Amino acid sequence: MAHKLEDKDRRALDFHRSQVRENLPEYFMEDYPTFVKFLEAYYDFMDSDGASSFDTEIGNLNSIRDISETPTKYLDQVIAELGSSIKNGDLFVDPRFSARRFGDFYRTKGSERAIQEFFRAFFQSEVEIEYPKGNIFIVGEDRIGAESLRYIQDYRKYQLYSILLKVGLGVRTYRELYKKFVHPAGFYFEGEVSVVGLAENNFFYLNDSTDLYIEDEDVGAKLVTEVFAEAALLSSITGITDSIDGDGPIVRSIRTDIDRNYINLYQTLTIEELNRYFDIKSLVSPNSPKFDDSANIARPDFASEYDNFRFDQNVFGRYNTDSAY
Amino acid sequence: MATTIKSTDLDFDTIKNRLKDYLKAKEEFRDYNFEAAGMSNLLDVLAYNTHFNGLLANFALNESFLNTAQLRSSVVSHAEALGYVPRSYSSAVAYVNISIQINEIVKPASITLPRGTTFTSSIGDKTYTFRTLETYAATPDESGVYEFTTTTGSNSIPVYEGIERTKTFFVGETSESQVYVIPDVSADINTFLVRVLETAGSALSSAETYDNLANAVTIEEDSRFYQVKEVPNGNYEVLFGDGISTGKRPESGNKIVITYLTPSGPDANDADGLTASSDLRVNGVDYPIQCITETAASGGAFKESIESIRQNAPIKFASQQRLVTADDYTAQIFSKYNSYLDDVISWGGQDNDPPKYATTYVGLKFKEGISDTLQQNIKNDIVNNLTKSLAIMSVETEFTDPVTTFLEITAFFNFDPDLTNVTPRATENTVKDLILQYFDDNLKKFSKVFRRSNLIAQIDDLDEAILNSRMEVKIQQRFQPVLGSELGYKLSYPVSIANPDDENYIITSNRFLIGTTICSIRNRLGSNRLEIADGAGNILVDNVGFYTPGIGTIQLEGFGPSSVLNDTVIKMSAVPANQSTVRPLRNYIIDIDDALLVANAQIDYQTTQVTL
Repeated sequence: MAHKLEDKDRRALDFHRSQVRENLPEYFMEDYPTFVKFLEAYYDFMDSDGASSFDTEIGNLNSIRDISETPTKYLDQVIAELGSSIKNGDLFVDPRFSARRFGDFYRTKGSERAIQEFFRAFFQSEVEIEYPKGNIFIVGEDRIGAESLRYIQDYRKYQLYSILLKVGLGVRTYRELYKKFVHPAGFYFEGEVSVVGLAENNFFYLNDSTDLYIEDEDVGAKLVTEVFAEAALLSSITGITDSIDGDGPIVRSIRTDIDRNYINLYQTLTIEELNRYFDIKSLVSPNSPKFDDSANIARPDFASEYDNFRFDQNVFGRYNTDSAY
Repeated sequence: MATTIKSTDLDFDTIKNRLKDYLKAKEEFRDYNFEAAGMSNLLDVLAYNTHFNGLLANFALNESFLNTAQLRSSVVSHAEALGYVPRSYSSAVAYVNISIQINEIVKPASITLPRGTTFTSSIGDKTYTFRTLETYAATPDESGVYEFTTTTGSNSIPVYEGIERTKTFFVGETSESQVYVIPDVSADINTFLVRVLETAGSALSSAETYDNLANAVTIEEDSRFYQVKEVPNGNYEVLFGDGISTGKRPESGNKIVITYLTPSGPDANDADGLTASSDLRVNGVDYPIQCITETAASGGAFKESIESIRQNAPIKFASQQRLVTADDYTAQIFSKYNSYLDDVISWGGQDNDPPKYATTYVGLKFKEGISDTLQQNIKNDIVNNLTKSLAIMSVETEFTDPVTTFLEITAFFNFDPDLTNVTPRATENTVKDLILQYFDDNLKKFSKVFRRSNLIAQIDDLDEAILNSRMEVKIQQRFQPVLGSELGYKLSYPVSIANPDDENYIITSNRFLIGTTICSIRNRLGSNRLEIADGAGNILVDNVGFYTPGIGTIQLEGFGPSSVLNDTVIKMSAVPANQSTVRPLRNYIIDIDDALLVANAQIDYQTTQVTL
């Protein structure tokens, strides 16, 4: 009788074995050996073929609700129970991992963490969550003018109850699932397509409006570069073919793995000094012609971390491979 | 409806043939004649064994999951793993004003109405008993009337239908696993009063009362909570804390007294005109209890069905006792108030028209017979006990009533009388019944979409004599006009309306009177302007408003009928832009106007050897 043994050190092993010879009268072995073989062949048959074999399925009962071991078709049943209206695990890259996470995921509903986990689990994407209420123009507190980057309340994006999601996906892709699983009812939400990490070599160039700034947040310092891209060149990702009242989609590069000490150093730079550097790359590259050593500021060596950038130099068409680096 | 997993082939012949093929492939059995009688019998026995065991394996597999289990005990068990307690029998609740009159000169400063005071009401030839589940107090007014009120000051006292039962347990050695089962499959677990006495001889007044763990806010080691669960035979088991994580555990020698109601379920709904079963004794004198039924009984229900548990348990699990997404509101409200509700829908204010942020809208479809007062009480209860506690701070809840959109269905089908003994007229009635049943089964709730092809397919399958069918669909909104006053009315449809047509009217109405002229509203052909015309087609008013196809609205201006013919409402019918799919938005519910349902048989002998 063929028995497959898969010892994963996870559960007690169960050795099925034929009991035909033990249960038949002893004289059967001598007088009716063919009949004994016949019965043994029958038990082999039951173990041989998943289509007619109850033995396999009974064996499965042990682990049928074990997320790690149950066959995919039964895992789908577990996911259907835990995942509310989700019918199976097809939505997930790793359905077993996602099945284990449902409980925690539901319990964190209403938090940023839940939104982040939602995009990781369902779309394998990182999301950046912003609250545009922080950019609302407040009379008496904020300065008037484009430099202030403050916006008048518009009862849509710029209001108290709004959430801005920056993720490398079109809103249509995730809208319904997002609203079903994590979106706080009553809040406006808007999605911005983030092209960081999606851009491919040499497919667009950027215009001149490049800027670099440091965001020093509680959760960790970030170096940020924002540039405008020509709309049509990004249309394969954003679906936007032209920009009517702006310079095009914003390409945003963020580096979050900066050591706080380095940030502290760079925070001593003046705005004029910072403006000499077009972006993070020009700032941290050891060979950057833009870097001005004469400033005599202790400058950290980012060279070893350079490969960790979330964008390729070709993302910035301005610095194509012919540029002087 | 449950799906099933088919794990192994359960066709006997297939199993036998596979066994035969398997044995034939074995060297030692290759030359055997498997069709011979003896061998065939032997194979039959073995194939039956395989078949039988395969069947058992299938049953076991299917019972392993919520979506495929067939036994109630399995479904309840899976639901329990998701933290869901299926609804038990529910007592019908009536609200009454209770008072007594004391005319003695020396009046007591206050009197109490004890828990368990009973009232009766009859429906048909059956009498139902209702009782109070709390003690209520009353103080006299200047005329000596004592009206009982709740702790919040309301004089609307809830009384619950059912027979009161008590089950007593004695706590054994705590090292043993204690099991307390209420042997009553019809118990209403929401009426459980769980009291624990120090010893068997302790007075009931000295008992410690335990509360349902579902109501717990904080739990400490001496907190007194119980849990209740349905056990496989349908009875209810009461569980207590372990003294550490879930609160105090009754000690060995304690006596547990559990009092509860066994209700009649929905049979007691609509009970009205309740009367007190006995007088109230105050200071040794019996006074008659005056009882006025404020709200007839409602909310009585049977145990939650298997399908309902299957549907609600995962949603409740996803909600995790918090109100963040719109679906959370639906799950929490429906699981707690489903004995009063047919359906619930919720949506965020960002999806409302017009948008209203920091607001969640909730549409409730109450069961038949729930009074307006009780509906309002339930809404207040949802806000006070649910959304205020669980929702995101600053997000308010607003209730909206369901808006019914009626469909006017005209079904045509080709009918060959040679293929059946049933007459075309009878078949027309059968088709009408089928359409009405389709609406009962598939629509009349929130978010239920009308799909014409599904219904046509059912009509085609109804009888062999029905050769093919087609269907015309109109959508209808109603309003009650103020007779004799020229006013404006705006009607919103949940779908887009068809663009104006040069040959057919897109908008029509039922008939009404202006002065003494019978007339109706229609759109001007080729235009979205609305006009009033009489039966002969003469235009009486050439501009009574307009309709906007894209957003599905009708605006009437200066409309003042003197009366409506054979009705009290104006029915405004419109051809939808897409007759194949009518999808209700938010709180719209699709129903059928059965008065305008038409089924029309067109005789078709399938003859092709004729001229047109």
